[in-house]
Amino acid sequence: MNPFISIMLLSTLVLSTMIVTISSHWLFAWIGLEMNMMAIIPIMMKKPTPRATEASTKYFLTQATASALLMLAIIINLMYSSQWTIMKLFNPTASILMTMALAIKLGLAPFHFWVPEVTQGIPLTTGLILLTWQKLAPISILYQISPSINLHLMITMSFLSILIGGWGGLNQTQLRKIMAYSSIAHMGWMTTILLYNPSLTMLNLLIYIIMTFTMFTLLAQNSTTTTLLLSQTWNTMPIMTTFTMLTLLSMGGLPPLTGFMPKWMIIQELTKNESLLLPTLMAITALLNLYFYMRLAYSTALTLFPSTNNMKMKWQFYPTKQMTLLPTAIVLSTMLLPLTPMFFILL
Amino acid sequence: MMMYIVFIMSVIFVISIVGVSSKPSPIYGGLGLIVSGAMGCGIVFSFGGSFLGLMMFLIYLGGMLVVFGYTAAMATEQYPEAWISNKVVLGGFLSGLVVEFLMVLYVLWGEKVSFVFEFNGLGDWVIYDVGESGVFSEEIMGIAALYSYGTWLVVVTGWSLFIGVVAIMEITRGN
Repeated sequence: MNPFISIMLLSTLVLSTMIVTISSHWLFAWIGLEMNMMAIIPIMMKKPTPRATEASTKYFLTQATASALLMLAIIINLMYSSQWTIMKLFNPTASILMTMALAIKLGLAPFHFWVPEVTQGIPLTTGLILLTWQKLAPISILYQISPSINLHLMITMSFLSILIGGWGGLNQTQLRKIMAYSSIAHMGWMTTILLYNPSLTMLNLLIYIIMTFTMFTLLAQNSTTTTLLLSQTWNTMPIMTTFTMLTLLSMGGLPPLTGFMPKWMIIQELTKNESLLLPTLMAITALLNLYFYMRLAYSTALTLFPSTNNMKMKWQFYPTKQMTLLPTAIVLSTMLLPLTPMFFILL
Repeated sequence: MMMYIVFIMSVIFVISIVGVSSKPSPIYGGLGLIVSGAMGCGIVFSFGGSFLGLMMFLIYLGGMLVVFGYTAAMATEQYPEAWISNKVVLGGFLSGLVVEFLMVLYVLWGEKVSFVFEFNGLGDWVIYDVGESGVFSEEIMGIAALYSYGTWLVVVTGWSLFIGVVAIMEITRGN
């Protein structure tokens, strides 16, 4: 793409999320979300293959529907409160509609069907933008309307997301689809705690973004998009196998790695609010997630996956791809657990 | 009497939007948009928003739809699909018509026409025109305020429209 256009689209992407997060008028937040959608569609179609076109079309359709529902919820809120300030909503209908619209934008179950297919059709770095940056704007709106969200709807959607994120990823060999299902499950964890302690949603979002960034950057080093290709990294860059394994285990939520921190905090906060069955079920279904991360770690770092003999003797070149922030991201996504008290600043 | 005129306009509005959304060829969709736009303007007029209604006629119908009509005419096929040429389109249109007809019957027999326009009583819900000043109309002054207090809004909407065009050009470029 023309670099001038590319800079314009990327800066509009940043500007739109900033507009959504800093605005106090509902119309502005809506405009920000629309700009966000418009700016990322050409980025998704950098290589205009039919796969990318299909992914962009699916993304556009779902996000446009969600924006229309959001506008309806905004107008119903206007009718019952006669003001446009972004704060808790004043009508249950508006609240339910807006929660569902933002769930479509985030990819929460039962609106999760677009996430694996869109993530699979686009290049790896664009998938990174889709699964990390695009989550910031809807979660900031959810944070601001959190006092008025219907508890039953939210908990249903988030528990369903954790289930579907875990179960759906079990049968996948394509790494982008695995990351998509991982995103669905993490969104489920994030939105569970939204109504009890929204700061933990922000904590979970931060840790999730760091871990997903690490994972995608590791994958983009060798442009590995399938489990088979990932299992050959021992031959080209052996150190990557260790990093990949640690990051995957961190994403699965194992102590003493960073990924344990949000799960621990969320379960603690839920038990403080006297709900015991929900965190138990959430922790159990997170094991499904852990299973397919473990499978990837196993085939990458712990065994020599079966491959043809000439794949086992690759020439080891110096890496020419720039590993932007990779060491920092790896350290952040594996070693932050002792710094848990530091996140008191998020409150 | 006035209420019935507005009610008829809203019925034609819904029928033409059903005609657009039953997916005929874009030329016929544009025709549906013109009729629905005109009826929508009529409803806005009836609430006292004369300036906004005329603005919509001028810019939306006279600017955007004209450009859309010309580009659709340039890109049209030899036998474009109308509402009666395809059973799918006809079925969609007829089912929308049936539902609208049932609603019209319900409103007229139940003497609920005023209920449909209950928000006529919420004076500033459609057009913000119930301000305290009796000297000027806040509706028109709001548009002037857009260019003085609302400069940032003009910048943001202008930029987002520009990005919309850039995005469409990039996507349809092909290579």
